[in-house]
Amino acid sequence: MSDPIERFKAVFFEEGAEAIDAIENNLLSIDGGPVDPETINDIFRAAHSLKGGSATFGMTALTEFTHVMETLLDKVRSGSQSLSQPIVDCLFSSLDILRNLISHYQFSDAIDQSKMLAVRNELEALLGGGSAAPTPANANEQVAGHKQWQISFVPHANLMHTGNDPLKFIEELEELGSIEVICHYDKVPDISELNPLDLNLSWEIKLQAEKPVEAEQISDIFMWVEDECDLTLTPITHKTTDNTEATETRSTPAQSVSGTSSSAEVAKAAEPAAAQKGRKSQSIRVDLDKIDSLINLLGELVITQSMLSIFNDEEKYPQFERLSEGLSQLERHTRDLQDGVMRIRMLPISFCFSRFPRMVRDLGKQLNKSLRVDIIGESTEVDKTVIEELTDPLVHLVRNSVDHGIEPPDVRLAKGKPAEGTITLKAFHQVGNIIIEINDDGAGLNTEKIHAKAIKSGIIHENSQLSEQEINELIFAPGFSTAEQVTDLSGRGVGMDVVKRNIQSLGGTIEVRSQKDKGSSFHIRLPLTLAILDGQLVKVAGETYIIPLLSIIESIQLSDKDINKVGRRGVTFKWRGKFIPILDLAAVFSCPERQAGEQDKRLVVVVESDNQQYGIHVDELTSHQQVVVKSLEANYGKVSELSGATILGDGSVALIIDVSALSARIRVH
Amino acid sequence: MKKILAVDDSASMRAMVTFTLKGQGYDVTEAVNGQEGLTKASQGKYDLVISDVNMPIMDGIEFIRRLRELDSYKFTPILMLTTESGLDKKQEGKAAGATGWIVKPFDPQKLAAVVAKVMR
Repeated sequence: MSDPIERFKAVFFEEGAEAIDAIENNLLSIDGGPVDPETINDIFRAAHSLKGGSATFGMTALTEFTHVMETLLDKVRSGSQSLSQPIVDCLFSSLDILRNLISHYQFSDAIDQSKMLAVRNELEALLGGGSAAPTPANANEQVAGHKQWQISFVPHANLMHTGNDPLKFIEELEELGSIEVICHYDKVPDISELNPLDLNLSWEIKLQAEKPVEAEQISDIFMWVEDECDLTLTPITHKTTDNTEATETRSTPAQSVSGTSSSAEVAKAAEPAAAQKGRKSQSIRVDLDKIDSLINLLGELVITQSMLSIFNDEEKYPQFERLSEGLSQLERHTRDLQDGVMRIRMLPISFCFSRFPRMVRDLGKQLNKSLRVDIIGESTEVDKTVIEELTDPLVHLVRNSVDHGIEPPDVRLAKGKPAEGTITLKAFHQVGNIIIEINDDGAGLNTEKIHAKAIKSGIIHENSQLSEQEINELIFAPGFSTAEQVTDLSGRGVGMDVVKRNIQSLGGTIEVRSQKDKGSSFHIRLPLTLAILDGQLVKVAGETYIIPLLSIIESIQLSDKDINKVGRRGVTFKWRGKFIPILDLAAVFSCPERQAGEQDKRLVVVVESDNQQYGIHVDELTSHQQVVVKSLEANYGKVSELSGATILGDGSVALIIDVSALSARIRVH
Repeated sequence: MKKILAVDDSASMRAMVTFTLKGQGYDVTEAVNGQEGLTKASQGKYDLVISDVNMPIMDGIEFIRRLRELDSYKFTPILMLTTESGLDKKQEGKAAGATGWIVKPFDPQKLAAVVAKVMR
């Protein structure tokens, strides 16, 4: 990344992705509704920047494709073509090509040539077969070069009004060969009539070059002012040095468009642009690594702070009253700083939600279902990693809702529901967690079918008595798939069990609720961030472990008579009317056996995972505190049943228990 | 040190213009649209202004016109960055007071050469 061009490319890729998203959002906003000219302008501008950037960085395929798009959009923008449904559809397909092309240049992914060609042909067809390939700026006129030229340069009075300096052109001519310059100043008026801003001089230049010079090369020098001067180029042949007899005279037409009238038109055209409101929010791009190293450092700071907090004890250290005050302040500021830095990693969930309107629209077309997506709370902020990991499960859930949940329009009408099905995505914060809900107003889960299927695939026993809720939750069981036939949409081998596992790996939970013919609802609860965890510190055989506070229901002390031994190893106790198993953490981590005397008072932490409660037997409960999660996988290796580690105030390492992985032991028992 | 104001809504373009021109020893200030460009231009005196044409909020044409209306920018070179397809834009830009244009795509060398010519 040290090559600056590579760095600019990286910025361009991000910008390109944003531009594509912007086009998509704009297209969605006009899909079916009346068209705001500013929306088309925005789309055009985004396509235009893509083209400009890709051309600069030599991404030819992207340049050529965006050029066709831009040409079509320009026609729509100018009103010579209306924004018909086929154009909107084709633009949507174009976005997929653009994404493909960007990833081609960014990650060397293959270009889907046939698809690109198909969409490009479609775009060109919509253009009315107009020439769409980028044309070179100047058609190559075959003009033989000459070594000598007579150049007449008569600037209009306003040439200097555009910041041009006539001498610069003459100096540039000198680069082509030696020049003889005659300046005519006879047009300069009397001082009383002289307008110092106007130019009243003209020049005759004789160019003598070593190599043949083409007319193009000379007129290119005057390119910027071709409308602000009369330029006559006459080659001097060896036979005749008299320019009136020259065989070839090129002159640029003196345009009769007066500056004032054309600028008046321009002013009118530009008014709406000036009336736009500011809508860019201020932001800077920062490499994620930088933020992560900041968070890491902050983690160290939190640890140092908690090491120091040992001295924040006025009874023990009465002589350090001022120190104690300072430490309290340090603690407060550290916490604020921590909150602030964690927020840098947060992104609005719209980054994830924004794909759904488009996806649902496409699915709806495919399935002939009429669909609407309602998004609530899209500005709710979540950790970037959570958003990234959450996207796939959400896509799966929404696909399921569209495919299996929402009924075809005629069925819906027969049920007395509106023909248009609604999928609602909702996100909000709730005490340190983010809640995401996916609701649909479709048929709801088919309980009988799920029950029958679960028996057939051996997930439950034929005779098992389950409540409706328990049956519905069977969809999360591994190896369960309701779709009778695998459609293109759902049933891609990714079952709901994978969705659940993904969400659990983020430290979250998922629940389903369903009502027949009213619809189904998925309720996802996730921690706001993966980097910091509220933990209960427990001690087992002298070692400190951490249990995530989120999964703890309560902690109780049990005496021997409360305990039921089942079989050789199984231990249960009665808790809130039902028997739940107990796991001895000392046994799990192969700690030395407890002495018999400690057995009669058991400290049990009741935790919940997957709607299953169990007790964890520990020796001692100490404090609960926020801990900075350090990855075991990155620093040591993956250890099942542990989700990470942290460093405590005294510098010792404590392991964090993965409550849901631990619950697997109970099933084995 | 000669001062240049670079106005473009595309971050990659701004980065490239700034990098190239700083490498040539110019002091470059960036603005993300015409509006911001106008504000920055009126706060300081720049020896050259380079502006994109298609920008949100205030486009390059309007920006150039307004800039030319300022007394301190009557004779300052103003270059616009434009694409080949924008032939009418060149004329619009000229009418608004642009000195000249640089056709996109351009590479850093070309940009440096054009700027050197104008600043000579």
